[in-house]
Amino acid sequence: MQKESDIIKGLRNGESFAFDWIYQHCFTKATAYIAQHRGSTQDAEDFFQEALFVLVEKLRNPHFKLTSSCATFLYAVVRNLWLYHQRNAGRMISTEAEQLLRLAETTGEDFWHLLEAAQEQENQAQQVMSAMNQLSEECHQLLLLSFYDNKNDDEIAQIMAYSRNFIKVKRFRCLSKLKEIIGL
Amino acid sequence: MTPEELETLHAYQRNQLEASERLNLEEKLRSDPHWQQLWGDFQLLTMGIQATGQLRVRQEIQSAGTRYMLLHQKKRRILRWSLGIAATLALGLIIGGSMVQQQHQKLLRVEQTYHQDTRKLLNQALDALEMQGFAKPNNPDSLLLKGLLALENQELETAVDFLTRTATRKPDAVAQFFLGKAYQEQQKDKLAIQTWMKVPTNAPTWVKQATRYELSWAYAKSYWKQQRAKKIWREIAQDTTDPYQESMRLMLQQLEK
Repeated sequence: MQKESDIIKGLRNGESFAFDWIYQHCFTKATAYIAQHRGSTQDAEDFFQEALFVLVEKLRNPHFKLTSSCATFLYAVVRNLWLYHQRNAGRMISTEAEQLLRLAETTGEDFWHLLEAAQEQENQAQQVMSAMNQLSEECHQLLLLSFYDNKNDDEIAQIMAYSRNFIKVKRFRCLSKLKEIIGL
Repeated sequence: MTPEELETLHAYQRNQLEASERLNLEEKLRSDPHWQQLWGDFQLLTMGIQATGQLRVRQEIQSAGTRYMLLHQKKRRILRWSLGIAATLALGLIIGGSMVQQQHQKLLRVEQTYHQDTRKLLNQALDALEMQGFAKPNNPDSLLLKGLLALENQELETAVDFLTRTATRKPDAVAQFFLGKAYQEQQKDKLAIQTWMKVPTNAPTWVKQATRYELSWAYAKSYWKQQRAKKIWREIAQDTTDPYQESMRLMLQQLEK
């Protein structure tokens, strides 16, 4: 029997067994709200995936403390996402565009300029993502551990079996390589 | 960008700089184009790396979802198959059971009309024994007589005891036949059949005919042995010496209907 604390640890580290456990133990319970409100199986799958992504993103924050069980948390997120989706059903404007519109209203900036900047930013992120795939396996892992998983150098040194000082050197080299591929 | 600059920006992003270092850096970010450029590049790179990490998580979630759905579908398929088989079996049992019951009720109706009375057979046996001078009502040593009288009085346990002892001591067709009858009265049809099967071939004709008749009825009670019962009934119906010939013929006609 797996403890939920082990599962949370597994989710933080992106381990497959934790995701499988979450599906097996929480999917039916967490998507019950959608099933009760005439949602399809596909809706349940999509919204559960989104809720699980929210949970993993939350868990990446070291200050975040899960006060309920995973199933309860996921149920609440699925329910809110579903209600939001139902409220906005039929509206043509996307969530991102809506946020930009609000930003334009509050800052007084030009909406189209903001939209253009956001698209530019997205393109650049796409560029970095494709460049990441050209890096060596070690660099890929090191950069993700440093900038996505937010691990400190001691933890990274333990995971990758390098010295703490070498991690700094290696990170600099990998980031320089990434810049070089993108052409910065 | 130098390694030191990278570490400074990384620490700033993670809010790990001392207050003075942070103020110093923020000042540079406001006024120094070199640091502004570095910070812009750094933010772009980390944003891309984070997007890569998020993509990895999404892929992991999607894979787990696919695995779960496949397993779920497999489980559902097994459940559907099991339910189908169970439903078919249940339906078969209901239909089969109702067929057996119908057949049984039909046979019982016919049996009520044609079946021989045990008392009649017993009297026949007692007469035969008396004629042979073998058993007299006052002969206390005759186990066979004791068994038959116990059967007549419906003391079935006693009857089985005496008749078993008689049949064990020496092969006795009459004892064997009535032992079968005693078992039949006790609702032990399987034992009755086994006992009648052991009636010797050199038994008196009336015993052989009565055994054949009773055996056929015992078979008839079992759905799977009814063909065997019908075969015996046809034999009886064609046997002119058999006292049950006429009743069997009529009964078969009834059953044909």
